[in-house]
Amino acid sequence: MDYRKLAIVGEIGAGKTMMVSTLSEISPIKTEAKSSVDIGKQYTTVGIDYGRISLSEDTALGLYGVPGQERYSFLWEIVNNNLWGLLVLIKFGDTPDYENLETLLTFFAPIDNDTTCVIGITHCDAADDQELVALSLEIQVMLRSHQIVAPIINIDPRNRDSAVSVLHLFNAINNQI
Amino acid sequence: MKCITYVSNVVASKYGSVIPIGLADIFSAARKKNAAAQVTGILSYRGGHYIQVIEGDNEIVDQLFSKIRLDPRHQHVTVLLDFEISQRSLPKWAMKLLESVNKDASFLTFMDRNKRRVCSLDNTQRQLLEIFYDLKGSSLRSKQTYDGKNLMLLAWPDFTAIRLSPTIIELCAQLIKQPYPYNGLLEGQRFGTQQQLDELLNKFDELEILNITDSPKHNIEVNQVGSPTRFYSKMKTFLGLR
Repeated sequence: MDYRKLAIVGEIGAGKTMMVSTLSEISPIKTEAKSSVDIGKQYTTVGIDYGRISLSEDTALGLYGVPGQERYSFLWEIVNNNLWGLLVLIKFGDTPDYENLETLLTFFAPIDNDTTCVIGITHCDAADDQELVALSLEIQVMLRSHQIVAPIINIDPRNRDSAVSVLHLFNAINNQI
Repeated sequence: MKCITYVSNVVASKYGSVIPIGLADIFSAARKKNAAAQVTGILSYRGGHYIQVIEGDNEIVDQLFSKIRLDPRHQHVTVLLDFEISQRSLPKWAMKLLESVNKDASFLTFMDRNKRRVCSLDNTQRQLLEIFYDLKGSSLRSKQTYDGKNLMLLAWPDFTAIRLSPTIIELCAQLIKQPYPYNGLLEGQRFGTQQQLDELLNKFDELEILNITDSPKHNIEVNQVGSPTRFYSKMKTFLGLR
């Protein structure tokens, strides 16, 4: 069985659960609980969201939506081996928690582990181009401080075409030596 | 009316990294407030520094600059230019954010109009300006030819400037990890006709992310790419690209 893993990480509300739901051919296994504080939604993920894409009888891609908060780093350990890709989702609108992102990138160490990394900006319906450029600039500088060269794209996790374009990116990058 | 141009340093985070945290917020807020106050200008970030040009009513610009000076998100604010103007150089923009001022027509016009003032800058001011702007004028590039060259992307393009498409994805993936011969890109018209390919490469060049080097004596073998893996091929089928 040729089985690869795509880890989808990010802050609360960035769209990880939705991304897994949109891409997965199976009903995603979600692990949610009622939020005890106001985070803009009633339920939040407290474990791993799991989904799957079968490419053939013996080839599949597992989708692992993992909470981005450091207290869930034990979950990061579960997924962080031989990853096909690391998708980091960042929600447009609030200033990203760069400290948390730095912790994530330090843990997943995409350069050391030779893991393809893509940054997806979500919730950008109301953003105009210049605002997205400004956010991309901030993110690029952070990535450079980790020597990471990664594409930054706008994603709508609710939209299948948008979600699938991310897979194309990972596939194209991974095909290069 | 008056114009103030300054350069400042981004404040390093507690981990020592220099990230322009809040740039998106600064930009959004500046655009709204400037529009209301009839202030125009540009803002750019590079290498741990900001450059900003603001134009407008004398009192309003002075008050705005006093607030900007005290903003905790930057430090070591150095004024490069502070002078009266009779007309704006940047009339269209309440605040325009630029990734590179070197390629922006309105900024180049602004610098051209103020050549004499720029020549009067002291060494420190010139060094700060040169972080953003090529004072020697070599930023005006002649038309590029790629024949016989090796190409490599230094960074992924900004996808607000270049529309994301399967061709762009494959081309960027080809060029991002190591230099690749231009002639190899033409084979099989994987990235369109030569003209279409050149248009894409020109856009990368304009974005200052394309590294062009002469082919060494031992050319990079095109067949180093290798044949696609099974997983890659099956994913392509799944994505509807085969």
